[in-house]
Amino acid sequence: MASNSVAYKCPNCSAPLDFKPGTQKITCDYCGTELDAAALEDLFAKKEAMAAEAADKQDEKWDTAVAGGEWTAEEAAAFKTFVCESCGAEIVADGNTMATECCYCGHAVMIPQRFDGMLRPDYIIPFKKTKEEAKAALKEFYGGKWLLPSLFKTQNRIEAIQAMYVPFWLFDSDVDAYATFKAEKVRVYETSDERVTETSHYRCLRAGSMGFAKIPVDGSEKMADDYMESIEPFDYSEMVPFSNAYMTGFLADKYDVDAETSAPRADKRVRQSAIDVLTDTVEGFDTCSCEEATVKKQAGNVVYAMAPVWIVTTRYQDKPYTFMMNGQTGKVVGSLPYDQTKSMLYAAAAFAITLPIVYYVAKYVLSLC
Amino acid sequence: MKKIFMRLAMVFMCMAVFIAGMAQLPVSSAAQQQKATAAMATDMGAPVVDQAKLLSKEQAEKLTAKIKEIEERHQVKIGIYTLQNLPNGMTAGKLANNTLDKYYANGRNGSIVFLIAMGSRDWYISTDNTMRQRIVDGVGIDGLKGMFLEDLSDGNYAESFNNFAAGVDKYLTYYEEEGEPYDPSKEFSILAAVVAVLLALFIGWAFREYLISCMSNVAPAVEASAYLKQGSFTLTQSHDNFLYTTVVRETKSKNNDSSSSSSDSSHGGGGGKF
Repeated sequence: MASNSVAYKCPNCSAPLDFKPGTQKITCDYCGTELDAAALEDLFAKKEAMAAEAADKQDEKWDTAVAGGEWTAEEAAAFKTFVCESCGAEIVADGNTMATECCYCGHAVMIPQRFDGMLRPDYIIPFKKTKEEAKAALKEFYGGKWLLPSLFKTQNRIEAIQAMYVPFWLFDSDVDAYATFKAEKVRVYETSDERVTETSHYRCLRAGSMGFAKIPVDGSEKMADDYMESIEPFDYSEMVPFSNAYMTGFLADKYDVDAETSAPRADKRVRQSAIDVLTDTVEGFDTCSCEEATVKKQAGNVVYAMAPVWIVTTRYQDKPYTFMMNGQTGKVVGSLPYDQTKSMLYAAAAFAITLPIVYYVAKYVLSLC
Repeated sequence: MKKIFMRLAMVFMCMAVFIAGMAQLPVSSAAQQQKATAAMATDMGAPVVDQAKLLSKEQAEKLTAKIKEIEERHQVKIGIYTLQNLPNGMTAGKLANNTLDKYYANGRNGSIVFLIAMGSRDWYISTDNTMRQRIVDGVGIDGLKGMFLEDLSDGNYAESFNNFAAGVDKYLTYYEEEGEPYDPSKEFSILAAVVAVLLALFIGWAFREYLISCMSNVAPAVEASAYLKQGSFTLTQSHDNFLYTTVVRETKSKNNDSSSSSSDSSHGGGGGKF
């Protein structure tokens, strides 16, 4: 049976190849051979085409088999098997997996069928942060958290942190915006008997056009949107045209939320920023608030890109707590559980320490009244 | 001729009666004034001299009895002196000091005079140097003021004077027991304690919320300003239309409790308006 996956192997010694974050090169750990991403892609292009073709053929077989077997149609769509080119083992992966690791031989496995046609990303932001840097960042994130349960620290899975390419839609948008603002100028002066506050009310109209470039919206159902937005921004100057070679050694999923579904989130952010930009032009007033606004998109463009993320999830008291690091910039986000007892003790300590101070301050203030 | 003589005699008699009447009138008025001054001089030095007629007879008697009891217990002299108007050119402090020296001096453990001038709404407490060690200027006088001023301003004069006497008693008792003057700022304040407990509870809760918020830095993005293309913004319309003006006038609060002091080397105390 033709292999439906591709393992990138060194052309010199046949050892498995992994992309080294921050190097822009693929280096063989065994013989030291260095290869460019483009050269490697050319080298394995034919192999990938064959693997994709083999996978297509297997898809038909798979669908037929599950129709009368113990798998439901939904399960069949969700999971598919691939053969590891290195050891021949069958790997089960979900329908979105683009790159993974063989659980038997540990070699990186690419699934070229998931890169084809419309599914092939336009760009990729290569990893710059290594696993060691991610682990150090995670340890630092845990540090100084007074309410972190001691048990969670012992249970944490720092070693299990994984590098993953997350699918993103990058939206370009040119907009025309129009807004009216309610603004006030306040003048306060005093006479011998009175304090006079004069408030002049204005209505301000503003209109303008502006452009936004590459607003990222993640295209993965599995990734929480707030986490993905929290690890922004990415440095697009280091974004390169997509090459399979960058994904070797990392996990990767293709998108399962299409661009059309993702667009409203980008539009919402564009609208808010457009209003903010117009608000900044309302100058010379003491207060300003937006009464109504219209933001109209004139032109829009979207590209499909893969962004690097280090991720680990730890379960504590049946709740998942996820830590993520931007694989390019090193920006860290995460949520941690807190110990209720510790939180109450700290609150009590704050109460006890501040009580006498506040008492004397209150007594002094009351004596002035 | 006889008729003329008779008429002249009648005129002389009328003149004599008029002159006698005129002579009699000043004698009577001076006597009355002398009598009043004598009465006032007799009252001065009493615990309560209510020339402004702020107290009923019964209230004055009760207050006098109370002050006498305090005077006896602490071996001091206390005077409450009310009058309608201050003499020309005389301040409340100066008059209170003079009154203390003239009518209330030589209390074994000190003397104190509380003066009220209704016309100018002045109050003043004058102390001699011995009393000044027991009821100190500044915090001591301010503490006493806190006991009587509100009632004085509200026209509850009997209540106000009783509170003054009770305050003096409290200060003197404290001095005799502790050997140092009473400082009201050291007294436990229930109101301040209640305020402090509420504020400290809030601080404790806010600190806990802050620590909990530190456990996560995940936040959704609401805007896209980081992705605004530099130089892409063009302002096409900009109009500011004036609508109207509103004016709010607040009357400045006037502090009637302007403190004053006529302290010198032999007098302490302080005063103000009520």
